[in-house]
Amino acid sequence: MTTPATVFVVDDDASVRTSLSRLLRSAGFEVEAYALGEQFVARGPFDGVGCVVLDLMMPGGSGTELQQRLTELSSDLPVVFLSGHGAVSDGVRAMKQGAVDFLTKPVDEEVLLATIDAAVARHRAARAARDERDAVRRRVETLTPREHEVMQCVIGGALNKQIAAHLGIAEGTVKLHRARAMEKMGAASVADLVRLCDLAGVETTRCS
Amino acid sequence: MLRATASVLLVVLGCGMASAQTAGDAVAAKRVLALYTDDRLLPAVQQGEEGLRAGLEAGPPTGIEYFGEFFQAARFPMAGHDEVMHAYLLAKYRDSPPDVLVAAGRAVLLFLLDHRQTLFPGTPIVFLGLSEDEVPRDRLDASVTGVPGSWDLVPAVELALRLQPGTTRMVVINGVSAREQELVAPLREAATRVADRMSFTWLANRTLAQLKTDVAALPRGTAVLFVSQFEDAAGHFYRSRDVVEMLAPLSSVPFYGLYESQIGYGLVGGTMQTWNTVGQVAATLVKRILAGDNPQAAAEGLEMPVSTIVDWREMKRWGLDETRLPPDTDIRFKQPTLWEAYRTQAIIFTAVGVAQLMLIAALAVALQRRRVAEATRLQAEVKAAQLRDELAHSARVTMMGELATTLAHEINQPLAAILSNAQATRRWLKADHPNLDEVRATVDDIIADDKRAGEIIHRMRALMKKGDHKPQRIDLAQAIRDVAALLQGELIAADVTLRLDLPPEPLPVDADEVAMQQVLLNLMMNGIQAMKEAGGRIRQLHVHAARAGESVVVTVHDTGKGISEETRARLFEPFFTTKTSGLGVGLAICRRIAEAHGGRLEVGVASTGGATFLFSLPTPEATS
Repeated sequence: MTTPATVFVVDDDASVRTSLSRLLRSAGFEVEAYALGEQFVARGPFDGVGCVVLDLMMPGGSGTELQQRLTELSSDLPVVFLSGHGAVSDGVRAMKQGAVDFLTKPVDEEVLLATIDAAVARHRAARAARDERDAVRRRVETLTPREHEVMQCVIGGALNKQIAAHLGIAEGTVKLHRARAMEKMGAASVADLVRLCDLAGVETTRCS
Repeated sequence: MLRATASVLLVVLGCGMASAQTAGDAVAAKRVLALYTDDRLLPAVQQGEEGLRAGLEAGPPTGIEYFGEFFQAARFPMAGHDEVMHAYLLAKYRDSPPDVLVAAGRAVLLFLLDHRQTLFPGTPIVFLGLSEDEVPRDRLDASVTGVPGSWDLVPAVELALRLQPGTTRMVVINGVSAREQELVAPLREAATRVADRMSFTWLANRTLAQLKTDVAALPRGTAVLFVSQFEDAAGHFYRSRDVVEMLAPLSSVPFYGLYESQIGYGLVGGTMQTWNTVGQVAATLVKRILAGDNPQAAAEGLEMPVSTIVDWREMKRWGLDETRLPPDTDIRFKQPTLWEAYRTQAIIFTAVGVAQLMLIAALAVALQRRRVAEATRLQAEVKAAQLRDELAHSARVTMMGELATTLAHEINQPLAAILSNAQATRRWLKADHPNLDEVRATVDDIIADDKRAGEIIHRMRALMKKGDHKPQRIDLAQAIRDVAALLQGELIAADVTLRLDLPPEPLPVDADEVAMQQVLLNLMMNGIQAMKEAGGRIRQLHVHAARAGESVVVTVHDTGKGISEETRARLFEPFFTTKTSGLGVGLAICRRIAEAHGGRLEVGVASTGGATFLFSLPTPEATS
């Protein structure tokens, strides 16, 4: 059983806010409801899995503006838009900015829940990918500079001899660093190491 | 007063009686007995008697007693009755014998002469109504006198020639009876006297049917002289005037005649003695005899006057010229024009009538004008009112059109909430132990949201409504809140914050609620749109309402670009607009609504930028 996803409802209309919260809770979601975008932003970062349900038309800044700010704040929470009148231009803008979906009020529970499920799944996947990357990066950070250098050359496809020559160290030393890096990175093969480094954004070095 | 009048009346009556008595005592009454051959009802007899009596009464002497006896010889022939009449007259007038006898007609004259010895012997006799040849000269003594009548053909010919100068032939119609045949000889003799001017055709032995054909085919230049027609060739008896009446209408030429009694039945006319004249001449003779004249001497110098008599209707029928008639012509049956008959009266009545008519006409025209003007004014007013209502309605509809998107959003919000609440409730109810408190709260919310949507629709519908809205006591503050509720979506979309500055107590005014909402909606929407267009960062719509003396004043202030001087001057003109949408009638209508309610709508001078509108209405106390 995974931890329950949290849905953030941002709508200035109290009735809509309350009713949406009720429906989502009844469907098993954790719900946090906010009347204004600022209130939600002020809440601070969120580590869990979930999504945002945003009213497109709100006082004190439209929904798309809040989406913009969330992106700027490196929030990876998917945004589902709810719109009163489904103006196509608003929808297009929202989708371009990475909204998961664009729904028109009144929205049927099946559509809403399916959309939110999809958004949460996406967030869960994204969160998983991010978690793995962070783990790999943490492993990269345990490497000594020399081990890092050797690893960069290894993923660049160089042989030990070439690495030794490139770095001006003994081939045996290269072998040692290479083994230590593989171990620290938890890579079973060079191909595995290449994937992990790619994930962590480690740059390759051409030794030839 | 009443008694005085009565006394005067009695005195006058007394005087009248006294004078009559005096006259009766002073003059010994003279008696005149007139005997008539024919019935009293014959026109000739009537007219003759009239002439006679009129002549006798004209005096002197006065106080002549007149008696008339009528032998009705046509019904009761003299031969069988003269003894009866003799005895009757003898008995009747024994105690009051006549002083003069008048014999009208040859038969009566002969009767008197027959009984001269026994019946009123020696009493002078005046005959009348006899032609010269009828007078039995051989039997008359000195006590009998009279002026014979004249039935001459010549004057008729002359009249015909006067009226119809081209006439050359005269057709003479006469009957076959012995009496009528006696007339022929003197007429033929007379005809010879005018033979140089006129030829004659004698139709003296024709049937009535033949005469009808004869007269219908007479050529131009011919005239008819109708003498008499007691009896026609077929042996039928008629009254002459009836024959005239039958023939004249069929005739192709005019009829002339010799006898006055036929005038009026189809004759153009003739120159003849009238029976009235005959009577008058006899009366003159009687009076001279009563005055002591010898009967023979009395008749000397007396002639039977003739006069020309024409039937005006026949003159017209034949187109004969009235001016050709001899002077003193007796024109009968002339339908006098109103002018001729009642000249003075006509002038007066006409003048009065015309004056009245003019007055009536003037009054009628004035009334009509007033009615028309009134009707036109009412019509114009009604039309103008209708037009204003239409325009106000159009403006509201246009405004609602502009609001449609946000109003749809306003309605959509509660609908969305209702759906989500209902679906949440359904989910909870599926659970084994549903939280009924939460279900109850949710259902309450559903009801509240439904009402909210309903209210918005209700307000919209009220604004869209057409027709006359009656002023009633309303709370202007509540109207502002209602309008603000309608504008919620618009405010959000334009990113405008609304500041409502209303007193806690109601602001009562007597006004049409829809009209008030229209004004407020218009002012507030103008403000929102102005700020949206200005694109400034601070967008606040400030609506303030409060009582100020005898007015309720609402100010609507926005933080837009404000109003330029030239715009300000034309702001309330119809169809003036600075916007791309809308009719441009909004403010013009709003001002009219304000004024119709005894209030005002003005644009204020905002010191801090933006625009301020002032909308004021009198308080109910001020208007009552």
